[in-house]
Amino acid sequence: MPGPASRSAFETVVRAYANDVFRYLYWLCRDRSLAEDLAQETFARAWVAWETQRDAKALKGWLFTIARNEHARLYEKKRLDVDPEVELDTLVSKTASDPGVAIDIRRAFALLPEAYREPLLLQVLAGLSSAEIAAAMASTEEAVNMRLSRARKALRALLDGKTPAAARGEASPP
Amino acid sequence: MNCLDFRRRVLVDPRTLGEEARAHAAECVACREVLERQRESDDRLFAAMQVPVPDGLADRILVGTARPERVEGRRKDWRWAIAATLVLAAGLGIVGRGYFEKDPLGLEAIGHVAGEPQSFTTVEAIDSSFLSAALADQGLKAVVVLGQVTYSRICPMNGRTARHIVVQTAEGPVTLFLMIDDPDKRRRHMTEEAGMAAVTMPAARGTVAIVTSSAAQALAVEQAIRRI
Repeated sequence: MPGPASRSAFETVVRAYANDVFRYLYWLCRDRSLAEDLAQETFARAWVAWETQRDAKALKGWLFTIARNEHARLYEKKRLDVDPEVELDTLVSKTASDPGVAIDIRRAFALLPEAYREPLLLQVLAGLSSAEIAAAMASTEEAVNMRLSRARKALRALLDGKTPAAARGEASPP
Repeated sequence: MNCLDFRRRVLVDPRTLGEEARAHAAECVACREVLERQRESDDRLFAAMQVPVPDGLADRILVGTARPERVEGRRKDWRWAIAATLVLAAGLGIVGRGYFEKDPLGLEAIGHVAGEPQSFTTVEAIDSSFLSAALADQGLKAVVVLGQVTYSRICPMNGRTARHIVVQTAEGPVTLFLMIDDPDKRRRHMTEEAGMAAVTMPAARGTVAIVTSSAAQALAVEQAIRRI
C-alpha cells in the first residue's frame, strides 16, 4: 500500500479532480447518487493502482479513463434507463449566468448521441486533448476529432430548434 | 490554411489552434467571428455542465479510500481484543438475546458519523485534558490514554444535542457522542450498520455512544471507559 507521501499527493488529486469526475459521471448516467458511487469507486481504484501511475502529466486522463471504465462496467451489468428529461429542469447550476440558457443547452446536450456526447464532455468539461480522449476511449485521434466536430454541429442545430433527427443528419457527412 | 479548413479545425477544438490557424484568424474577419462564436458556445456548454456537486464529496472519497488500509491493519492488531472480549462476555453471561440488537440511538450515531466525514479529516488543536474533562462531566473516566482529540462539535442527536468528539487512537479514529442531557435510562447496546459499529451505554449522567469501524474496536474502547 502506498506510503504517507503518496497519500498526501493522492489527497491533493482527489481535492483537485473529484468535482470534475463527479460531473463527468453525472453526465454519463444522469443519476446523482449513482454518479457519486461511481466517483468513489473511481478514486478507490486509482488509490489501489496509485504506485503504477508515474506520469504526472497523464494523471488527469488516467483518472477519467478509470471513471469511464467504471461507468462502462456498470453499463455491462444492467442497461441504464436514462430519461433525457430527468433532472434537467431541476438542476440549475450555481455558476451558469443564465439558468434558462443552461437548461436549453443541457436538454440539447442530453439529446446528442452518446458517441458525440462523450468526447465533447471529456474535452469541454475535463479539458482533455484529443490524444488523451482517444486513449480514454480506446479510439484514434482522427476518430475523436471527427466526433467532436459532429457533436458541435449537432449541438448547434439542436439549439437552433432543429429536431434531434435533423440535427444528427446535419452533423453527418454528406 | 483556407476558410473551410479553419472552420473544420474550430469545430474540433476552438481552444487549441495551431500556428497556421491562428495566422488565418488574424487576417480573416469572418473566420475570427466564427471562432469567437464557437468559443462562446463552448463557454455556455461548460457552464451548463456545472451541476452541483454533493457536499463533502472529496472528504467522503478520502475516508472511503483510507478505510481498507486501516481495517487491514486493525484486523491483525485487534484479533486478541475480539477473542478476549468474547471470552469475557461469555464468562459474564451477557451474550444473550438482545445484547447485539440494533437500537435507534446507535443507528442515529452511525448515520451521523457517515454524514459528517469531515470529522475525520479535520485536525484541530485540542488540549489533551479536554477529553478527561468532558468524560468527567458525565461521571466517567478513561482508564488508558485513548489518543489525541482532533475534532469536537456540538451536534443534534436524539432530539437534543451531543458533544461529537473524534479521538485518533493507535488503531484508527474513534467517534464519541457525549449526551449529558439524555434523560432516558438506557440499556447498553451494540449496533452494527453500514460497515460501522456503535456501542451506546448509560453514564452516571446521560448516555455515551462510541462509533468505530469494527465491533472489536468499539468493545475495547467501551472497556477503557469506566464510571468514576
